[in-house]
Amino acid sequence: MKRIALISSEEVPLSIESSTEKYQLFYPAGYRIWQISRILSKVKDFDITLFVPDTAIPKEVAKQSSLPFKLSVYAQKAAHWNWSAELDRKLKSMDFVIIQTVQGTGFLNCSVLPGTVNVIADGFSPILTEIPGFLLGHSKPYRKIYWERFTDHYFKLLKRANCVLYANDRQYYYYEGQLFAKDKLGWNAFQFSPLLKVSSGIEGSPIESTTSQRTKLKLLWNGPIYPWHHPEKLLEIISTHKDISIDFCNISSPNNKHAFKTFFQDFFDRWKDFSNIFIHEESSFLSLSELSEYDANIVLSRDWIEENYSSRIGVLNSLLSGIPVLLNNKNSWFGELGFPKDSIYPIHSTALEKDLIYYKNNKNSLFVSKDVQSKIQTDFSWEQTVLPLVAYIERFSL
Amino acid sequence: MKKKVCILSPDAIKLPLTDNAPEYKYEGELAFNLKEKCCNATALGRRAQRFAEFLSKHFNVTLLIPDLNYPGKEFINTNNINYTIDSYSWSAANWEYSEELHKKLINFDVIIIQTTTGTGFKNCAELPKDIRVICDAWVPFPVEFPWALQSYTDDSIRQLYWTRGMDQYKKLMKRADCIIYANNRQKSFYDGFFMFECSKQKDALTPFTMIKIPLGMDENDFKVDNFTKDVKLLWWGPIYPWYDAEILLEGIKDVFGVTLTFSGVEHPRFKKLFTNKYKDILNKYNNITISTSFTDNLVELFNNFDFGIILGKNSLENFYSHRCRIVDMLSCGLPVITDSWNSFNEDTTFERCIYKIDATSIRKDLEKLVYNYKLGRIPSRKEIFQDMRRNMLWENIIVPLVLEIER
Repeated sequence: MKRIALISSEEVPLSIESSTEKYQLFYPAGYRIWQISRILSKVKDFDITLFVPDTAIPKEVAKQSSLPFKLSVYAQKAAHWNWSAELDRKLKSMDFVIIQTVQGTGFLNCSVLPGTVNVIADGFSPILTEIPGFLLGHSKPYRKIYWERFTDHYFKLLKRANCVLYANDRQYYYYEGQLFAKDKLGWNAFQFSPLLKVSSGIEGSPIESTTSQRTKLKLLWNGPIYPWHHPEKLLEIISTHKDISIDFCNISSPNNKHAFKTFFQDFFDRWKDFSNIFIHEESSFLSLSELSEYDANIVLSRDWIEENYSSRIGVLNSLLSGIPVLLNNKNSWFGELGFPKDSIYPIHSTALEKDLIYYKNNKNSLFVSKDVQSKIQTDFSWEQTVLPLVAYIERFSL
Repeated sequence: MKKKVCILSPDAIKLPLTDNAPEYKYEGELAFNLKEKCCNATALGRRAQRFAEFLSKHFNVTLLIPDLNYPGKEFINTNNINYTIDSYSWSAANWEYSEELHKKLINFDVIIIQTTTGTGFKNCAELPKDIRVICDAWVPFPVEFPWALQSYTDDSIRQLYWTRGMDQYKKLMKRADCIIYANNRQKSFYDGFFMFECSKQKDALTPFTMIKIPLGMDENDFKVDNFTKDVKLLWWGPIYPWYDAEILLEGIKDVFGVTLTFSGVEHPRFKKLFTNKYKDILNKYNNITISTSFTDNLVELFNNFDFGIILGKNSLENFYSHRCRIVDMLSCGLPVITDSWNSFNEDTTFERCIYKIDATSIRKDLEKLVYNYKLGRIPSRKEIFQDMRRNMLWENIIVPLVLEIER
């Protein structure tokens, strides 16, 4: 039996039947590692344990879970930016440890695991491009110290990792540059980097896309707003166009309350009384019929480096639900989906008003095609995206 | 007052010689054919020279070339060039700090250095901050240098040179005020590279200053079509260790209706590479034509062929490469067959001019291509190439660099 540990730093669903929308929106890292655990647990001779922090799920609650893999609770405080004796004891008996390169939990532990443990770092979220955004608003000394500590732990983990997972093709080259910069790759790196693609995945059946008869363009922003997002620009433009409306749902998550309050609260307070702008402060998970009321989902990001390497998980879910998506024109999803003629549509931060007017005037051209949905189901089911990881683990004999 | 720009070429350029230039250049007791030494430009030298040609329309440009490839000022014909050509001691500046080079470089406002060979790395990394250092990183050093190290058989020597090389390279990149890249994969590579090397990254929300300057094209004549019963393939240029001529030779040997010619396969200076390794390999195959000589008249050469073909190995070098011979062939209207790993396949500018084949199914892919070609299913080329070339003209490609220098 191959003993495989996966470490989540976030909340995860406690049963396979759980509605996963809350986790997809608010705990994307936890959701991903949970899905990977679920798929790996189907493989014969894989013994899976998902480690979850006690701050997310108390031990007594975890004991009641009905998951097809083991759930083990660990003390997060001891493992966050620290080396934890508890995690060390539990992890060093494993054959494989999969740790996400977000948040700093477990980094030190994994970076010093014995050579008998195959450490797999999941870099699906390009965290180094996100941190400068999160650090905005803090003092200069704080930013310096946080950055230095994070990169020190991160580099140690990267150097130790036997394999690094990435989520889209652009990230491959991005991580390869990091590996060379930090001497993880050297003169004998000719053909293969220790990089493996495990895209974001989806589950569920496609919903047919419909177009509405109304003349107004009705947009939806569904998901937390982070510092690299640019909702203020949307608000400024839409407020002057009565024939375009936008609903903001689930914009403040448990993970980004500070950033939201610091950077965005004021903007939303300023615009909330406009008749075509609707801000839903409380969490509201929309039903399929509610979702179908919208012409498109929209995510506008700043032209920061984060946008180049992001892996916006919500895009696939939106497309599977039949809702087309308006995205920054250089987002990696265009390439990942093979530059489809429909379903995802480009917006330019420098010409946003022109783009929105165009889509309003050509509203009926916004739809999700069956071809794209079929491609998503085939290429991006969790079973499919995790396959390379299964093959990687299976290659090793104990 | 125009800015003073220095372009440091690590290799030979195509020097215009005077009529009275001697036949030989002497280094000690050794005599070298002057034209071969000083006029056979490599890809690195050609790019540096094109930069000089176009930037000299806006700035005072000096192109520094290695003394090994410099015939002397009196033998350079400067009638048709707007930039100065000067030399530097290559041996003093290659992986070393050169006082001579330093004295020349500090007179400029901007230095453009290619980050390929180790020449000038130490000097440019130490230049004062009032001089802008622009690193032309169109050949990613970390993925190409390992191939150069293959000429050593001892791993410890390879490690030694690798450590020295990367140390100097990182210092140079850290010093750089701007990086030039040639394709999007390189951009992502450097974005990742700079995550650790840029000390300001904690504040940096936008990437380090990088500009895209691929190889440009000129408005030469296009080749003319010359249809014969066989489809004529051309491998043009030297074979380097990262190419896969062997797999092509094996794949093509049983393909009916195709001929293959290797032209210019001997590097003008690294002749041993061909004579020691590839000559014997090529000579094993009866169904190919081999020519070692170089020609300046590419259109005349390409007129005799239907496709160019260049296959690289499945390697990091290939993923990031920006092959000048592919650009040369396309600019003359010769469509190119290349492997599926190459970055040209991702660039939609070239999608109607480049044909991709899989290394694991070369024979089948070539047979299909030949079949389609003979049935006229490969679309007529001239308009397609004109469209493609319009986007790639040097005068347009170089604009971001002009703006960056003017900043």
